Amino acid sequence: MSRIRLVIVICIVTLNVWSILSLYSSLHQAGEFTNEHILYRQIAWITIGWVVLFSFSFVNYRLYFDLSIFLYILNLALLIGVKLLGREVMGARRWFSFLGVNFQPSEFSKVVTVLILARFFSQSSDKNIFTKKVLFPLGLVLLSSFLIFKQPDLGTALICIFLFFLMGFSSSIKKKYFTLCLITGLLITPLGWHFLKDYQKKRLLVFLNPNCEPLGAGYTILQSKIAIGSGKIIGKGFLSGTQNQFNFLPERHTDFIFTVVAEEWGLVGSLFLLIIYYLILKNILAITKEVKDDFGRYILIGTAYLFFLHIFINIGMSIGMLPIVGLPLVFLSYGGTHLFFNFFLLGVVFNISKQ
Amino acid sequence: MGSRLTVRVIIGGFLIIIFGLFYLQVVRGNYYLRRAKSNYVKIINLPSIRGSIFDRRGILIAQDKPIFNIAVIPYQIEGKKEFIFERLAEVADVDKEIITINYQKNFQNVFSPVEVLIDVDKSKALKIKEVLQDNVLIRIIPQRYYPFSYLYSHVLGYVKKAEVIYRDIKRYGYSPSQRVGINGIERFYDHFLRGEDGVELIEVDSRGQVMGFLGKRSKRKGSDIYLTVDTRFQKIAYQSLGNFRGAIIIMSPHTGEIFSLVSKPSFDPNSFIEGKDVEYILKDRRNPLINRAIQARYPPGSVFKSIVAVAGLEEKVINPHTTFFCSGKFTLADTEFSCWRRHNQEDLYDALAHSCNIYFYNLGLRLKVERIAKWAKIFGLDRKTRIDLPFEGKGLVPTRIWKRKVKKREWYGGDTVNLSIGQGYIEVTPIEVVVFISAFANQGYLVWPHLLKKVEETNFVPEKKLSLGVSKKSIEVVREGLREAVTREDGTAHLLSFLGLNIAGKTGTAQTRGKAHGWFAGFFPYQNPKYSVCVFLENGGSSYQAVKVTYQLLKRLREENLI
Repeated sequence: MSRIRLVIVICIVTLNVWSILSLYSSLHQAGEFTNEHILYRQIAWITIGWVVLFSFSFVNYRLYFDLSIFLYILNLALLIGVKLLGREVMGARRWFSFLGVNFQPSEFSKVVTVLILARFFSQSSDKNIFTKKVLFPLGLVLLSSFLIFKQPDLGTALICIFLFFLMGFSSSIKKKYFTLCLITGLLITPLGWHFLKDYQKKRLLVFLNPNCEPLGAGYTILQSKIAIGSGKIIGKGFLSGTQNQFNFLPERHTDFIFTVVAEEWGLVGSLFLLIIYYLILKNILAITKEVKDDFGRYILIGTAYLFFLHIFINIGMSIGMLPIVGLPLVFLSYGGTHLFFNFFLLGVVFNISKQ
Repeated sequence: MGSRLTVRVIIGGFLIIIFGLFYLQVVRGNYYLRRAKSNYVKIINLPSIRGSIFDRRGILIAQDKPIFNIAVIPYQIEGKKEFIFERLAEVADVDKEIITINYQKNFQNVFSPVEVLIDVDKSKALKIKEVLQDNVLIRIIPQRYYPFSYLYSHVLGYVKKAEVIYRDIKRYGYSPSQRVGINGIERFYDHFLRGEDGVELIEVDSRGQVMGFLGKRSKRKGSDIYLTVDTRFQKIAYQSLGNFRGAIIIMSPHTGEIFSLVSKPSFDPNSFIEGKDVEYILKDRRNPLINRAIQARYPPGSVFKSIVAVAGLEEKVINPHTTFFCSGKFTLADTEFSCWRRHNQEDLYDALAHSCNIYFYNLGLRLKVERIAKWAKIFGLDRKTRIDLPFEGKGLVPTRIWKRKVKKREWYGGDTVNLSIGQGYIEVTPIEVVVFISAFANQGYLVWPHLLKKVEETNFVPEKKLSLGVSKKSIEVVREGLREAVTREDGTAHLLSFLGLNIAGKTGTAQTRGKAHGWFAGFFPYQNPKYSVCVFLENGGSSYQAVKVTYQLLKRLREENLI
């Protein structure tokens, strides 16, 4: 068990170093170092993250079983609060500004979704399994997803819904229940489209492309592809990625951090990054074999899926395979809230592995 | 339950990504590397045309006109920047310093055009292009122009580039050159006027040759709007004010449509567009930027007596024939207040016609401050008229509680005496005055003053007028008093009777620390009023000056057959 934790720690440290290097590179524009504070903030957040991981590895994870309902309600309150009081950035209200630190409740929602699903899927009940273990948790997830969607933050809203199905299919509950929900959902989605007003449709399309407003997907995706593709097999080397340094790409220190990695380190670097991610996920899942308690096991699976979805969607959109939704790349992108909750989840994972 | 399924999903996902990466970085790697080397993207902003503004008769009072700017693209002139700037200065016959400053100010990124010379003569622009060839480009850009310069400055306001608002957008590579209204109609109806800037993204190689077209967002023209103002009225009103500081408002007492709104001293909004003499305007001690018609507040003086008269009648403190004796002097607790002349026995009609202070001292003391304040508020003096202009001010109606709270003092009888003739703490804006005097013209309604007539071809629907809930009889009595101020030979506004316009109105002289303010507020024709008018002279000396300005104003309007 301690070997598993050691591997994860080494992987995370590697990602931390890589994140700082990539941020340092992305903040260079035409040879000039700009917005240094972003780099220093990231270093501070990584430090805080390790403290969080260490602290929460001592908190018994069973606590979250009872706490999850309360956390879910808190999450709803925060989501409604941010809509009413939050800071507006580029037409979206996603942040709380508190003492100079911006807090993003939708990051919290993802963690809460994992915990609440773990609770309901692991709860023991014989009767009404479909209602209690499938429909009710689905309702909770849809409610908070809807609030996140209204922010608007389509990426996070979808992740919560994906989590429900992925965790559900990996659970011991009968697969037909989830298949039924999935098919119903897929059938309703296009119908919903017709109920939307024209301006709402237009807005929905803008959701898909928040970064490239007002020029459509073309610009950002093309720039992202040029950056990644031109890195070829071995990359251009550290600080030599012309695409990123010439300011072609917006948000390259947050959602498009992968373009920096792929341009500077090429396919070799990208594969190395995927191997690190794989090691982390594989080791998190390896713990499930030793854990006897269902709740813990679901948390492990949920965490692995949560990380995986971020990696898959983020890199997928960077290489132009998926539409652009604003999602960070786990442990690499700049962003305090996102780092905080990732470290927190690892803290919970470590605690499970110790029991 | 299976973590095996999870592992499979993860491996599957990663394989898809690896496949995608392999395609991009290996199969298409050389292609993208080539693209990267020639990847210079030119972002060209296409400024939208802002909607024009017309007066009620379709005369153009604000429009966009094309100007010629000279721009350079930083990466194209790399290494020869100084040389090109020197040549440019030489050909354009300007200081090189100006070019350098503009370059630094307007620089966005190395691929976007930077405007270094603004508003160049067309022939000069062509000459520059001929001499400097591909090193410069001519950009034709719309610029706001106000053909009547000083005349409409406070009504229209002016526009500025949205650089401040769009600072965040800048790093996305878009030009922050879109213009937004900073004041006046330009600000209030910015959403109609603005339109939407377009953007063009063009890919060029290192020699500046166009390689491809990446995307375009078309520009959209803003909507034209028509105002209720009449340029002929506006011109005469502006001239009638002469060298006085102050304001003139002419409005329909029934609909609230404003025919003319002038504030002096004025300024030329074109200065802000061109960036000339702005310092001079900002530093002017007379504050030309303030719209005295709606932003500043002043004691109303005797104009306020018409409201006190209504209060007296409605609260049944007096009837129209109640008389008070004016000896020219009035004593309250050892303090002596005076009238401007000895009027002897006066009833309400006499008191309004003569503007007798003693009559209103007596009435005010019987009403007490609360009831006076109540009626001042009913006539809207404590709130904004919500005219469609930004930064409107509102009047101040003092009460006992207000004085205790703000002045930390008790309310004295002397305060009530002052209040009853519109002196002391009470303050109002000229637009509030024209709205309340209109209530006597339209039998007891507060109208919503507004400037917008229509947007493109769609007529604007103004808000309904608001009933004051005053009895017709009280309004009628005061209205008659206002008429007698003009008709009677000893009436304070008798001068206006010579115009033959059947005017009714009230004069006001408001004592201040400096020279007194002069007011006239009235309406005409008496039987079926079409116009309300308010003339206000800041430190104009006396109400007589205001009456004279009103006389000039209406005489000219009459001569031009406008009223």
